[in-house]
Order: sequence, then structure tokens, then C-alpha cells
Amino acid sequence: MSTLLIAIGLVIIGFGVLGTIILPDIFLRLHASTKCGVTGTVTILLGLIFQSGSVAMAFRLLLIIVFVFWVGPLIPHILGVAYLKDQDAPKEEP
Amino acid sequence: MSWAIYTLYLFMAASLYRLVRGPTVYDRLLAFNLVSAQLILLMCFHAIRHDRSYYLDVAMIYTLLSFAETIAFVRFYRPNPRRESA
Repeated sequence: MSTLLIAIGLVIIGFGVLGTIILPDIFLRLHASTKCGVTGTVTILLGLIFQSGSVAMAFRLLLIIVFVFWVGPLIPHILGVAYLKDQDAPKEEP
Repeated sequence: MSWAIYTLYLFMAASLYRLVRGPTVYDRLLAFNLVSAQLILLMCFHAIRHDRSYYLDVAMIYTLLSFAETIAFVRFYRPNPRRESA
């Protein structure tokens, strides 16, 4: 169960990294990196909870999941708004 | 479990491509966030593997610190509002 969850999370993160490398526009990159990064991270942390020996480690992993779900979608929102408001940033042609 | 750690190192090295090549500073910040998420995962892997619970505390604090760092960089690179009104 734990190995399966870790493998699924690694595949999701791999797709996120691939999209971050090959996609042409910054908004597409934000989309790929956020969705795959947050989902893959939470999936791997869920898999690690099954392997943790004690209740204290499981609780801390659960707290890390809450933090990742909290700040994960906020960062690309801030980056996208800042990119839209930045007049000097070079606008790429896809 | 070591295969997952090596795969994560590979993904971090691949994410550094966007950090080096990114046309704007926002691309670099995006790649930095991806690398820091994978760094948090590596800390959790090593905590479970060596049975050290304080690595998880470090990972927890690093999650919030990378968020604060991104906000600080975005505010630092924000265009000057006084220049637009003048």
C-alpha cells in the first residue's frame, strides 16, 4: 500500500517536472507545476504515513500535508498576479 | 525506499533546468517552489528511513519558510507604483 502510493506520487511529480520543462508559456507552467506538485507531494506523504513507526511522526506528517495544501495553491496565484501586473516583464509569444 | 530517493534527486536536477533558463524571474520562482517541495519530500524520506523525528520538524518549518520567501521575492521585484503615477 505504502509502496504503491509512493510510486503513484512519483509518477505525478514526474509529469509535473516534465510539464514545467517543456511547456511554452508561464501560465501553462504554473498550471502543470502546481497541480502535479501539490497532488504528488500529498500522495507521497500519505504513503509515508503508513511506514512511520510512531504516532508522533504520523501526526507531524499529517501536519506537513495540511501545510502543503495550505500554501501550495497560494504561491502560483501570487506569481500569476505579479506577472500580470508587471508591465516590464517580457511577454512571450507561444 | 532508496529508489524513491534517487528518483527524487533526478527530478530535482531536471527542475533546475527551468531555474537556470527561465526567461522571467517568475519562472525561476516557480522552479524554486518545485525544488523546495521535492526537498521537503526528501527530508520526510530520510526521517522515516533513519527514524529521526526532528527532520519532520525541519520539513514543517521549511514549508512555511519557502512560502514566506516567495512572497518576499515577489514584493521585492514588484514594479515601483510611484513611477507609474509620475
